[in-house]
Amino acid sequence: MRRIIGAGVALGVSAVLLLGPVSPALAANPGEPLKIAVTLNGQNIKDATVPVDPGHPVELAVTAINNGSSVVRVRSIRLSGVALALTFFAYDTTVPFDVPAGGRATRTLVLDLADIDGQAIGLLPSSVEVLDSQRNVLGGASTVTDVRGSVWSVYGVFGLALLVLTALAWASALLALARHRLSPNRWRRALRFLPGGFGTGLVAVITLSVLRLVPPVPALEIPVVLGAAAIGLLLGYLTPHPGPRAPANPADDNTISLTTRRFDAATEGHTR
Amino acid sequence: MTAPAAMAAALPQYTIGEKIGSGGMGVVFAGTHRSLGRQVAIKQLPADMADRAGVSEQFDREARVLASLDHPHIVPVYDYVQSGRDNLLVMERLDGGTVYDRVQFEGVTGEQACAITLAMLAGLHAAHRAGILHLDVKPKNLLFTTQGVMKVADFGIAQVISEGATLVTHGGEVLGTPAYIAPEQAMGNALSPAADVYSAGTVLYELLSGELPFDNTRGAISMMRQHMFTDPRPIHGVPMPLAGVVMRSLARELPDRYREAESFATDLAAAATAVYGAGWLERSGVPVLHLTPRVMASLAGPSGARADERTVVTAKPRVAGPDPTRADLDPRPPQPAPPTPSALVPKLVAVAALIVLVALAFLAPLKLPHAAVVNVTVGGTPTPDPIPVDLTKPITITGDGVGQGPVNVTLELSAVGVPLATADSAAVTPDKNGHFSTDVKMPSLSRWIVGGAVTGEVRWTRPGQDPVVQSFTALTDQAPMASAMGAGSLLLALFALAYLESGLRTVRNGHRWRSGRFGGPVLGVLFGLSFWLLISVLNSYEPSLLVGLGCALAGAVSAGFVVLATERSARLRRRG
Repeated sequence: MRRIIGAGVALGVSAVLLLGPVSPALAANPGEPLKIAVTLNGQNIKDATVPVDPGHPVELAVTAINNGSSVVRVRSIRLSGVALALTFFAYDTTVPFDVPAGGRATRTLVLDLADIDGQAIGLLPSSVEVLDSQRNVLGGASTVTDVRGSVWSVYGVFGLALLVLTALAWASALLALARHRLSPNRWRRALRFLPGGFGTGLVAVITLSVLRLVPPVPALEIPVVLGAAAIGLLLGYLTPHPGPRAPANPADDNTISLTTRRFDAATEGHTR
Repeated sequence: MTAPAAMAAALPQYTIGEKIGSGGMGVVFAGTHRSLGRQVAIKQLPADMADRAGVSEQFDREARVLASLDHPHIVPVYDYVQSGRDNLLVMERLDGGTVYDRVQFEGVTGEQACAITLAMLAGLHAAHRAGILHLDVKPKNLLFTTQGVMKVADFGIAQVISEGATLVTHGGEVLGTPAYIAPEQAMGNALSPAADVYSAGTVLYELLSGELPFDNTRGAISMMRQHMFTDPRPIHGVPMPLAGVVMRSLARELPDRYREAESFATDLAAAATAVYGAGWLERSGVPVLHLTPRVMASLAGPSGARADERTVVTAKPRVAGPDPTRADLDPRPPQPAPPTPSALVPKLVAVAALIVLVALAFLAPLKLPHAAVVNVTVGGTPTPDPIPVDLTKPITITGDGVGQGPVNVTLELSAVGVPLATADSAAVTPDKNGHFSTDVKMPSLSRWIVGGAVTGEVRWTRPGQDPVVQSFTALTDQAPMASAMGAGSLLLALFALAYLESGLRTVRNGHRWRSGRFGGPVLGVLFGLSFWLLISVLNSYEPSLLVGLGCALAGAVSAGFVVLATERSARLRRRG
């Protein structure tokens, strides 16, 4: 069980570390040529939590403002939900239009998000981005969507699995501490508590948003996870040495058959 | 399992019963002499051993010598039969359990450990004088009669010392127990009574300290290698000069070790008298019979015969303490060990303190008193009444009587003076009546930190004036356990409990928890504070410093007395 928990948390770590750098949501380009204003079902998404119901189409209005000196050609608009640099849903719609220099253009789309029911649930950091023909991000706006999806969606199961695995990781580590099952090596003990701490950080970021308990803050997700992992590591480091084992290890308490040879004291080796 | 027919045929005068034991030495059956009604144990040598060339002759010779041994601390051999491939030994049957059983289920005191070792050494010395080495001394081979007399059993792999021949076991297969085997036995070198002294010393080390002198977590092969190449760990928790005697019996090099069981017994008797006081052997309740005059003399104390008068001068053994020389023996009249007080009182104190802790945590005030200093509202609710705050959204603060000119308004959340989150507004200019209204956005991280009820403070400062501070009770909107204050305090409380249990387990296992007297109360403080904070967060009690300190104190008292009670219980259990 301990290995399964460790593997689960390690999988989460690997996913974050490996997938994080290639995620488009975090690949924000400070030199984006367009400023984007977005309304979802008529509600401005800036500093707001926008409800998304898979049972109803979403009216997405994107206003692109070009403060540059040349025309910007937009090819498509993407709506995506990202947590911990993992994309849980993404909808691309091809809408070719030009934004003239110093001008603005507004396009309204109606998206059918029925599939999101199986992809996400809860409070999820989301973004609306406009892309050019090379799929470069021309501009975007971020918000928090309140997805009314299924608990059995990818994001929902991920969040609940993290909660269960983290609880098991803590239970396993604390029971090992109480029962003298930790390693005599202090750093190994610290590593034994690392999954619990790391999992706690993931729960704080993922599970609490799945359960709609705490709205996510994308900029703080990684620091929260790493901070919790560091606290777990510190607690493990502070654990005591497990002490001497109970006497009479059965492995060497029984009379066994031995083959002995003369010992050569000069070389400390065995010779026939 | 019933006895094989061949055995019944070979021992027609005995009724063969059930199998009562087995091991490297063969299988042991219960039996009863048909005419005398005497209860016996019948040992059958392993068949594969019986197949080897020369084994029958060796066993035959060995059995004759064993049968000739007559010592109260050696299991007597009544009969010996060779029939076909069967080599059978008929011995006294002992139903009082083994030393291993007693250690596991009852524990032994220091006096009992020394008495058991003296009895063992007396039996071994008699066997050595008859020319027999045991070579498999261990707690499972030390049996008690129903009257409590301990006897050394299982001379099954004993080597016969015949007519002064060199005690050499040349390379070949022998039997042994890795945890107790002497270095020279493990290496296949020449054997002498010192090999049994080493094993007996290992048993004494284990009985006194509760652990083996080597790391027994890495398997039998590692254990053997440690016996061969590593010095034993210094024994802890055993006073001098007893520790010195133990470590000398375990010396890896032969010249540093007692050469014979009697020398070991002599020094052990003197050291035990010095440590436990005169009369320790009687107090132990373990009968020790037929002690030699040397041992008897040293039992009387330092004025008795010098124990090592026939022992060569040896290098100092490694012990955890000062030099274990005979000069260290206390010449003053020995004092009996003080009786261990009952564990009941500390248990009751610990429970009472725990009840106080829980009561304090639950009976804490819902909110702390906050005086109305100025007219301030937070989120539209006037202070200092309890005010719900949503840490994820801007919080509107209004105030009166600020005066003229722009001011910066600060909202701070804290618990017992520990700041949790602080936010400043942009500079706000009051109207002509000194009234202002501004929004404050708490830091994003605060939504993961703050839970339950905390103390809020609205503060503004004007140049040259004292800061104006209005405190109030802030009730956070989010789920209490979705915060570091809630989930974190739960985890810290569990961590403190697990840590404490780890230490208590050390004590229950018969070891010393070196920092227990200090570490226990510290863990109690941690548990008390965590528990108080957890209950405060769950019930939305505004954290109160006095209640927190009370819980910490109650936790410290409870944990300290739990440690004391466990220590006493363990000591009482060891003393039987």
